[in-house]
Amino acid sequence: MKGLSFSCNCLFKLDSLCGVFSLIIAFYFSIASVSAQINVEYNAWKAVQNFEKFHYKPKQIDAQFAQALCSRFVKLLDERGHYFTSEDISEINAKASSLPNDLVSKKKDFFDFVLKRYEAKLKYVEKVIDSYKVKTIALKNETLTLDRKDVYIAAKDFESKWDKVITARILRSYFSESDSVELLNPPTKEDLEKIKLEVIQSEKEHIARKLESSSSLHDFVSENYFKAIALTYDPHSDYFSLTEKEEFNLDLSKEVVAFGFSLTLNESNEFSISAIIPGSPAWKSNVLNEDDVIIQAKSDGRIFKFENKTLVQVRKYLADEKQNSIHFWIRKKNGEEIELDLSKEAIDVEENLIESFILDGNEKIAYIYLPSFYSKGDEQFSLSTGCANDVAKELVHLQNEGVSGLIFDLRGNGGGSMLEAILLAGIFVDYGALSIFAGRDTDPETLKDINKGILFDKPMVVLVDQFSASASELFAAAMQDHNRAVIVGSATYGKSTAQVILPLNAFEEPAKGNPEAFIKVTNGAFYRVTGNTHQGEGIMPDIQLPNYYDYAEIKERNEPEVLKLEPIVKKTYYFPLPELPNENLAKKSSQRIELNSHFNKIMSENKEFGIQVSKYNIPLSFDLYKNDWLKEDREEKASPSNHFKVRNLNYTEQKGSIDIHIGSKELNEFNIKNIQEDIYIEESFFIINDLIQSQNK
Amino acid sequence: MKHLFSTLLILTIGFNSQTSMAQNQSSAVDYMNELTTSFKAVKEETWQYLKAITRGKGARKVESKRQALIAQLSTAKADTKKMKDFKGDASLKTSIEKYFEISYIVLKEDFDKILDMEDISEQSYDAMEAYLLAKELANKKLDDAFSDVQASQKTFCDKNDITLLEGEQDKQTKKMIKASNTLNYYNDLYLIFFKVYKQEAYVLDALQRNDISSFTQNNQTLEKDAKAALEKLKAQADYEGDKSLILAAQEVTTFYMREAQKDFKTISDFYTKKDAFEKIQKNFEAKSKKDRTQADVDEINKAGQEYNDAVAKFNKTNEVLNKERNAFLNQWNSKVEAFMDKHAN
Repeated sequence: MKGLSFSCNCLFKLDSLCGVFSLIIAFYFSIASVSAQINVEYNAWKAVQNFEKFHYKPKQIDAQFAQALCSRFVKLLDERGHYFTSEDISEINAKASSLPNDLVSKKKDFFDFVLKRYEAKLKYVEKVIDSYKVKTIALKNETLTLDRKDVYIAAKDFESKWDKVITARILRSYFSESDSVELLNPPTKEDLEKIKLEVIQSEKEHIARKLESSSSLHDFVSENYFKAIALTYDPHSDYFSLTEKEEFNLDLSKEVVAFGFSLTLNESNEFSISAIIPGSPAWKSNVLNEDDVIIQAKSDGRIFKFENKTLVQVRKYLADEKQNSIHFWIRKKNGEEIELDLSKEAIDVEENLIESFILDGNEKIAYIYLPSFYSKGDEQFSLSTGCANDVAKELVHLQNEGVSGLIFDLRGNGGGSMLEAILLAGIFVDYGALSIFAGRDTDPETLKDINKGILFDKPMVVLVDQFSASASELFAAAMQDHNRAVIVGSATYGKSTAQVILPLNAFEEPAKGNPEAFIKVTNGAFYRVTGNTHQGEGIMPDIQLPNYYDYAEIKERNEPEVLKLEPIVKKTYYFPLPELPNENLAKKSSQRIELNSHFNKIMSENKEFGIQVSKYNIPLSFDLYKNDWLKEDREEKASPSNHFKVRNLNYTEQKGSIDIHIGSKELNEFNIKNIQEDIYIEESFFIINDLIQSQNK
Repeated sequence: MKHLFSTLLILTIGFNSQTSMAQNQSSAVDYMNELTTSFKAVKEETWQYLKAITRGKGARKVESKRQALIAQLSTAKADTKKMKDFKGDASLKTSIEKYFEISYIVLKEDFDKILDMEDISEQSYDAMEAYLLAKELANKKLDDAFSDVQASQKTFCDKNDITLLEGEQDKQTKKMIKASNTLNYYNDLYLIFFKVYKQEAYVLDALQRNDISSFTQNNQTLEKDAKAALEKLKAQADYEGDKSLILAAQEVTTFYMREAQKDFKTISDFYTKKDAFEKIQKNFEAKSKKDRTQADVDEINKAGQEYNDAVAKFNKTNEVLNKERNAFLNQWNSKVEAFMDKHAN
């Protein structure tokens, strides 16, 4: 039964998928382990060469490019204006005129200028912070204004800004330690003094790590310089140093017993999840996604706060053999805070990683949550080892249980393997074109359904939100274009581009310069089968549900240097099903939403908060801060739905003593509770019931 | 397996072979006779090729006859091109030349010279489907070219006051018509059958790769295709009272249908059992030895036994299917041979 061979249909289809395959291959370039001093001018020049050669929409290295690069670079070094003043920025901007020449002629005048200035400012701020050791901090009737568009302030206001920053940090620390903010009293002088010392210690350490040695500062600034070059091409191009890549690989190693996530320090100096291994405890929790922030953890009754810790300290804590089970506090991308327990496990990449549920109500509806479009192990070319095959297995079980519809949940799913997205879409579509891939120098290629036939042909709802991106969008678009599913939720993120990771010295013989760096290049884009693009704007749902982020402008189009793409002309053959009664379904849905107190709360609060794009004020008095804190602590969770009962599939409900759920019994109960209380799943359940009824007529 | 052949064969025989001319303008008749001489040589090569196919000659023999016919078409094309116009009228000559040209292309399968192969590939599910579609569209072009020749011939005759007369068919022509009619009947049946045959191969391939997704989807298509094929076969007329090919195709297609509806479902059940067993096994192994109770051990043993039984059933099903499949395909092949012997030769 074993053995791998491609059938005729696969061979032919693989041809048309080569765009997708080239995206994957490059992740597996082996890494030569040679350590060398970073050669800034060479790496920058080489990076530009590679982007010129491989980027989908290369750019002219001119004054406009230089200004964009300059602005990305200073933002990476100092996102919040904690070090540079507006005067510094003016000088740096003026100096950027030398950038085009630097990049083309392998020079580093601009880089050296910024490095020197940055070092001086770090040293200055270190002193400013140090002075607070002997200063008293008092809460005040003022606000700290954070303006994303106008970050850098004049030198004359610089020290007073730091005063406010420290006050705000003290308040954040004080509030986040409280179990019940409603009952919280103002801090005493002693409280303030104690937290102040912690805060200045953390800020000082943050700066000290950069200034530790001249080479550490040089490496930090140069890596951000290369990243800025990448980001000037588009928001998804990137640069990785070998260290970054190795740490990432270690976190995600399958050999070690672990929680199965990789952490990175994000731009706000918080620990966010940069990757999750499919099948790991973190994955099985079904609630974690990339970019979620870990706030604190507890094991053996002791709290470990992530704030103010270094990456090394955090790694050591998580890797401690004594810490096998940890309780985590996580802040989701949408601001919601959740808690969960994770236990370390050896990660088994072979097993089925999807667990589906049944919503037992008027109709028996299947529910599947897919956190990412994973492909397992190293068998990147195998058609049967990724999420599509796992979902297929679940659907076979679900069909055996006689479900009459499916809710496929892609909320928070930021993408993954495009091949898996195509394979997955194929499960629900008989045959025909699903998407189009266009690279820079090749004709657009149709990505067709690889397998003729439909595995699951019952009515279907695809649930999406602002954080559903990339492969999720390809899948949702294919379902929408084929009239195969009703897309429910919020407009998706709008990332239609594809990336490839290349060694910086790719295709160069003999290898020169630093062989240990990698660039991620946007080398093409996906289009809908109609030739239209969802780049920037995302997939519009057929039925929109109110969401706390409706006003937050979470969209690819708001990113700097976003690629703007035009529709392409390409003849494709696809065979949509008869149109779905979306208008009618939407009408019924909006009637329910009008009567739903939770959705109403979201809508009214959204109106009250309005658009918070670039500027907001943090109050520095206790009462106002508390007021804001309580307002922001908005819960989407509702009381459990009484229209259906969430349960596991029959075959997992063994009478014996061995549990056969993915993850522990507790995690399973936690998942069931979450699904039962989710207002978006409940509304999707109503919609699919309406759809089934309309089709039975 | 026998293959699918071009409709080229019957067209060439049809042209000019049953006709003679009543003439009153000898130069026009001479011109026309000369222009159509090439058909005679093409006809001879066609007959050789046709014989090789219908008399069950080996693939190499059939191929060499095909190459000979291609070469003859090339010559015919060049000879026609050399001919002059008739009093400034090149229409007959041009249509014949074009017909030889398309015949040549179709027989060589240089489809991209006359078809938009990229579009055909876009439309098709796989390479085989694209090939069949190309063949179908190419044959259509060939039909059109032949109709053009007939129309030009008629116009030429009308214009030059020539009357075409039905003549007595010679022995070879009669044989050719008989053989090609048989072949066309076979082609129709073969196409119905082939689609299902090919689809089953996809299912088996997915099975070999443990690809449940592909297996289930392709099996669903197999069931659909087998059902459609059976309906088409039901509507198919017998061939001069002979139903043997229809019956053989029905038998093998019914086998595919049963496979898709019943036997492959057993195999799919095996995969769900395997999936469930692997989950139990993993959670059992995750428990440390000291935590394992007798109940756990009993349960894993029971699940293991059930899984082993399912494996045995799976293997048995596979073995039986392989035997049956071979038997049905052998039967189809021998029926085809007998059918050709009876009707084509």
